[in-house]
Amino acid sequence: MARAIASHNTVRAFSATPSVPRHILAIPSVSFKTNMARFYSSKSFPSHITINMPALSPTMTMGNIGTWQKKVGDAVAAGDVLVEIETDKAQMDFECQEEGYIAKILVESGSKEVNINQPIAIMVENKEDIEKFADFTAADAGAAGAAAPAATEEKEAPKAEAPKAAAPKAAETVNAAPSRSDAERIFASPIAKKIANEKNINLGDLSGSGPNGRILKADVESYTPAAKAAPAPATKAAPAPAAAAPAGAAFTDIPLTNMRKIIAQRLTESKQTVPHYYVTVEMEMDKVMKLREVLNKSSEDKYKLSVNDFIVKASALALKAVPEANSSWMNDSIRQYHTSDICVATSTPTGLITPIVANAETKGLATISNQVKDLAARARANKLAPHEYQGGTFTISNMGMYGIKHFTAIINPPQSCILAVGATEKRVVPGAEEGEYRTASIMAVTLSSDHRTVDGAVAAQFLKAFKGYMENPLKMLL
Amino acid sequence: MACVPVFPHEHHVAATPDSRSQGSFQPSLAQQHESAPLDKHPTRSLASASSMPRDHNHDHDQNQNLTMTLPEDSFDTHNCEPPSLEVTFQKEELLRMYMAMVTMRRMETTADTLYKSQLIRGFCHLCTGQEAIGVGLETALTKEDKVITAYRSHGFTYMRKGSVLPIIAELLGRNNGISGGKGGSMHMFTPNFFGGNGIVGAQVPLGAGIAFAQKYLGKKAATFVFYGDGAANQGQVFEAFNMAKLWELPAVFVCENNQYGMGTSAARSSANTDYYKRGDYIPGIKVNGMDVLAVHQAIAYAREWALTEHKGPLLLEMETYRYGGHSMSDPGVSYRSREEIQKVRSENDPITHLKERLLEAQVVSEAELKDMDKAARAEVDKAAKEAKESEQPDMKTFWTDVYVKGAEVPFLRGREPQETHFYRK
Repeated sequence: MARAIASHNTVRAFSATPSVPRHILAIPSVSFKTNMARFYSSKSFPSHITINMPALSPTMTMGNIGTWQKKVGDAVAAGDVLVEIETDKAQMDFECQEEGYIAKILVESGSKEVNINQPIAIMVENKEDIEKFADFTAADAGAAGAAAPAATEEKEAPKAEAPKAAAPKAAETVNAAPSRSDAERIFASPIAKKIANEKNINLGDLSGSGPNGRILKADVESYTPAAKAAPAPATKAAPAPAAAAPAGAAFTDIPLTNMRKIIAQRLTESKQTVPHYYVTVEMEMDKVMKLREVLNKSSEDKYKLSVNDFIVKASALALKAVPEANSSWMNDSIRQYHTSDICVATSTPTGLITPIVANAETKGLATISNQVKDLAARARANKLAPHEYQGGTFTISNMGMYGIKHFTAIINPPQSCILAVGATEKRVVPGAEEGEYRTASIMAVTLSSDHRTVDGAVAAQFLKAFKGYMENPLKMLL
Repeated sequence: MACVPVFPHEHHVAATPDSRSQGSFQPSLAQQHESAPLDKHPTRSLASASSMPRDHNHDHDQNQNLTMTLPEDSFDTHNCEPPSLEVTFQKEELLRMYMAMVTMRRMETTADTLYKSQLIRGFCHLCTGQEAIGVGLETALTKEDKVITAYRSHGFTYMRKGSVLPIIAELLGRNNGISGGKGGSMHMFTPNFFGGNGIVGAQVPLGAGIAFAQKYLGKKAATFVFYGDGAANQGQVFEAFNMAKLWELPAVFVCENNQYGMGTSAARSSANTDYYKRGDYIPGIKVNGMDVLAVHQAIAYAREWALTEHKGPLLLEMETYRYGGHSMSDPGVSYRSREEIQKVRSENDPITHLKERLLEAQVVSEAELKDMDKAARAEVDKAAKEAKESEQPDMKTFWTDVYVKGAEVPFLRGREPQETHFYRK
């Protein structure tokens, strides 16, 4: 077996799937596990057939087991469906090609991420043999297969170490030869490859100046073998600290959830592609606080208004007054919305989500308040429907409850604006007459705007309108 | 050229020298009407075909021969006489047929499992359910006759080659494969089997060419050219028909109608689903492709037609069914129901048909058949095991078989500039 592992590290030249990295293709030939362990008797089990997890599509590496259509003791004919399997692409039925009886199910319905070729069931020819498999475990089936997973693990481990060492190395060495694991592909332009081939230069010694570290013609032409000597000691020194860093640092790698991946992708895209600019305005909140108190007193428990509800309503009305802020950049046009669908940024244990209050300009404060509460509760319980968090024309992010004075938010594409609301604090401000002072509750908000659709003056107008509604909340009745 | 004898009731206008020299060969519609009485039976729906009638007349004789009568609906014809329904086989022959079909079935299901464990990659088209055609063909041919088909070729390759190991090894890409591990599923050849061709319908003109070569070289060999119901509408197929008829080539065109071209049912793809009539001026016979004896009889008849009697082309349509999908990438249930597949499996399976015949005629016992099943399984498993342990081809063979040895170009580029190979003279 060892002989085979060593010799099959070479590239398999006849792949029908050239996009798959070559070293992965070498792995199947290493596997010596017979798929149908016919006449496999040890530990006094009668002859049986091991059913392994099938690859139902060429790119499948693992799948989820759905519902078993057969149970222990059932007869199976060729063509019968054994179990539903969820692949990377779709849910498919796994048909059996054999005849016999199910003796044991090794992986139950609902199991996730079962690897290809892992034993999932046992079939026997004779019904009488079924009971002998009561104590059969995956380990008994896996004895023959142990060679394959072990072999693949061996290959995975050195590969995993090489990129880890490569990362700190790359950070430390600047002009040196790039540290790459043997498994990594060398990016080089066709002309660079041709020149390197003609000059007998090994591409692996060069560092690329193009995107993704691509080796360009200029790199090859300016490369001199003398430079090799210098980087050599640098790279030799690099592995030592590189090895030390992982050993000394204490950290945990948290796997990414889908939500985290999406947040990362969308917000990066937003910050990189949208020309953000920020406008801040402060407003006196005393009247809003007063009105809120009054309304809550007579609520009869039908609602409990918070300052945020006033902010939502005021934003919705301000958007009506300044519709340019209620728009989207559509690349060849600007879409101006006729309704204000306000997204309220909510923090949940799994991440940030923005449930939407649709048509906020038509809703009363009580409705807005109850809706926001309901949406927030369901968001935290992960029970929002897609239309409740996808869409929207404007977002409000409120960090006032954390005592944050001022912050700038990232626009939620394809919207044009996001309003970052800070905490309200009591301040002493000049009064009406010279020398007079009074205290007022002041809140600052910062509007991040997309300069493609919202010019500075427009943002200022929006904030003026918003401030107007917040400082004179009764105007919202108009 | 001698006058082609015209049989009574045979209204097909053979290319007699007179009509040809006058240049007025007209396929008349009248012919087709007159042949209608011969088409006694409405188109058989494969999925609803009943299982074989139980009251076969079978006679044993001392020479271990068995005479049977095929069911009446085994053959439908277009402009020709059907083969006789009385068939005689040696018992040994029948058992060999059974063993071949069972081995072929096991080989294909083993390939299925190997593909699902990612040991076979790329394309893999299996002929599970269509075994009767490959077996019935080979038992009626000689080694000199030529066969060409498309990509559903494992069964044909097995029958022409005679062993399982080279085929499985080829699928796994090993150096003891039938094409040295370089061809894969769709490129398997033997000296008288021309593959194994990937392009749909491209093999039909090639087959006509092979038949032309046989006639040109004066060989007494018929060429059997297979294509599917999906390929039957390709233009070059009709071009091949024309040339075959014009020059009276000893070519038998066989349409393996498994009811679906990939995922399109025959009714949705073809304006005329009577593929045996599509030859028009070439007479045709529709055969029950799930009955290995009917297939054998039709092939024997066709060979006689092409080589001796009429010395011209003939069209056969084999009505058959595949249990699997078009290929391993196709689950096979998105364009037909599982019930349909199960129905054909249980009521119309070719192996079961032959088994029932053998048991009924008391040629062999159930236990003996079970032993044969086991033996076939063992043989295929052994071949699979051996194939898995075989070596992959040497990189040196990457460069061979591209050009005829001794006539290569100076150098050949590989996948990258660094991988250029220089042929030393």
